[in-house]
Amino acid sequence: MPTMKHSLKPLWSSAVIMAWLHAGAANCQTLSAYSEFQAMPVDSLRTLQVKLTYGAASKGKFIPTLLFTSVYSAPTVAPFVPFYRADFGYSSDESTEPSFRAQLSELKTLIDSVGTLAAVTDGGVDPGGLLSFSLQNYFGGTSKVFESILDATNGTAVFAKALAAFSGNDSARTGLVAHACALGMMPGSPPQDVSSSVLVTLKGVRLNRKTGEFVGTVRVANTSGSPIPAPVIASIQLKGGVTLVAPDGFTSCLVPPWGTPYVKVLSSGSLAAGNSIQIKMRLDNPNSERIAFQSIRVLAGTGSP
Amino acid sequence: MQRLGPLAFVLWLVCLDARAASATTRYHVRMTPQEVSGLTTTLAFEFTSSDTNTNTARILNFVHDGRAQPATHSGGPIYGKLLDGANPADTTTIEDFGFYAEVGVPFDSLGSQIRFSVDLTEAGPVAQAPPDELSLFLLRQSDLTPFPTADDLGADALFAIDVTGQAAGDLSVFSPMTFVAPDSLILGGHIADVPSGEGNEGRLRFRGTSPNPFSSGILLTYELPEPGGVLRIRVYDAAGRLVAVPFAGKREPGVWTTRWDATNASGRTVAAGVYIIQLEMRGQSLVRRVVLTR
Repeated sequence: MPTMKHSLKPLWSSAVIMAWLHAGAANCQTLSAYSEFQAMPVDSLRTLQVKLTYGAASKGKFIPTLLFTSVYSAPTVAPFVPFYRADFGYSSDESTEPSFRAQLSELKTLIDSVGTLAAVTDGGVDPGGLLSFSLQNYFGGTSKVFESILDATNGTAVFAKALAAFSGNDSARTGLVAHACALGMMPGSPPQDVSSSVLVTLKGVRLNRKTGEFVGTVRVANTSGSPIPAPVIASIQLKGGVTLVAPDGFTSCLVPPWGTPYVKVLSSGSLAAGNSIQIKMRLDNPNSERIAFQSIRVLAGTGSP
Repeated sequence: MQRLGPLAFVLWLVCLDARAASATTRYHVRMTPQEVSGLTTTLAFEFTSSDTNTNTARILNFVHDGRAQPATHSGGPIYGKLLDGANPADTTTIEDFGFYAEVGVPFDSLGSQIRFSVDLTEAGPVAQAPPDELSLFLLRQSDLTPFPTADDLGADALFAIDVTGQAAGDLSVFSPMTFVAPDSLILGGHIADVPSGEGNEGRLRFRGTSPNPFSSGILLTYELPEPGGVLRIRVYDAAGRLVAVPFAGKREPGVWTTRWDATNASGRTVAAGVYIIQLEMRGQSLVRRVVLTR
């Protein structure tokens, strides 16, 4: 059994017992310790599922459950159901987000890195916890489930570990960022907004006949008297139906408006005072609309865009 | 890959006569293709405009001795004799009522000479809007894909002009087309062998030519794109004679300033007049005119 961490644990245990005794709660089974998942060989993680459930859907804020598994399996909520706690709302599980698939190495990294979060791996219930973090896998002939109910602090810590574990998996990161933002548990802080220190211009727009895209050169000039440290990115909203092709990413809720495409301007070093840098920009403009910026934000330095 | 074969176009940029008040820049162009029998191409003028002013690119006095079909067009309002297949065609106008306009002149056979002039007129730049741009392309008529050039954007333009609402916008020329002072653009050799873009990560740009007009010396401030390379700065007089080479050598990307002290290679002060500054690096040329007064 997982170790207890909070005074709520006895209450939770009581609730489980109460639920177990209740005729309609015959599905409550014993949860596994986190260490059991840490001990699983990598190859056995083919059937591992990770589920993040917002538990207060009944209070008017509905956030679909994030459920993902390996590239070798299809995600399903069903194996988690027998392990539902009686005192937590799982109605969000009725609608899981179209999700991503993970490599076995990524799942192993996730398990190991979350394993450093004692407040998560204890499998307890945080006071005011609203996020269920669950693992499920078939191992040793049985279905094993771990669950911890997390508050915002521990939920944010889990998202930080997950984003690091999936650093090379864009679709995973997109899904995790979306979920973390919806929950208000996005880790990190935004880079510094240096928009007032730069001048951004677009020139040389012409049609690339090989691709059907329009192309242009974006120039970012440092108009301040100080160097701007890398990494430098520009989040760009264009007017009308014009969109960036293949942006380097989309901003999280840390950089509103959430979901704005951004391009990398400078990856290392710094942009010296008075200096500028050019990057190519590819634009999809199916209706041949005039190209104009709706908004541009230039962000620099460490932080999560 | 289709090859143009031995070929030499000569585009005569006879005049960059600008009338600042109306912000019209006139370009007189003559093309002289050689040994291109059997080659079917389309000469395409492309005009993009992102500001809200109504600007025009007017093709004047288009004359050739090849076999051409009536021009095709798309985009904003386009009218004129090229659409009728007239030869000579006195005026064809492209208006940027919308964002994108194009006129393509299909040639069943390029002749030995094509001449035309282009007037670029802009009502004035609009703040925060990308400048308009006129580009010229040589396309395979079969699928309208361009022959590759060193265009930094990979779009394979032969040349491109920013129409910024100011007189005589900078002219960018992309290899295999080369600028020959005072007013020629030469396209020769095997155009299909040129790697598209030539690895350029941006555009060669002037940041300033100051003062202009100048009396004793002029500071040429320019921006070199990644990854840098061998830069040559040449100064020509109005007759096309090489007057000075203020810089030739390898340079890192970034903003640089070079001073030309209005002297020739012998160190003698040159006469007052119009001078042509050409920057050239990695298949790109950038041309601007400056005026020396005494």
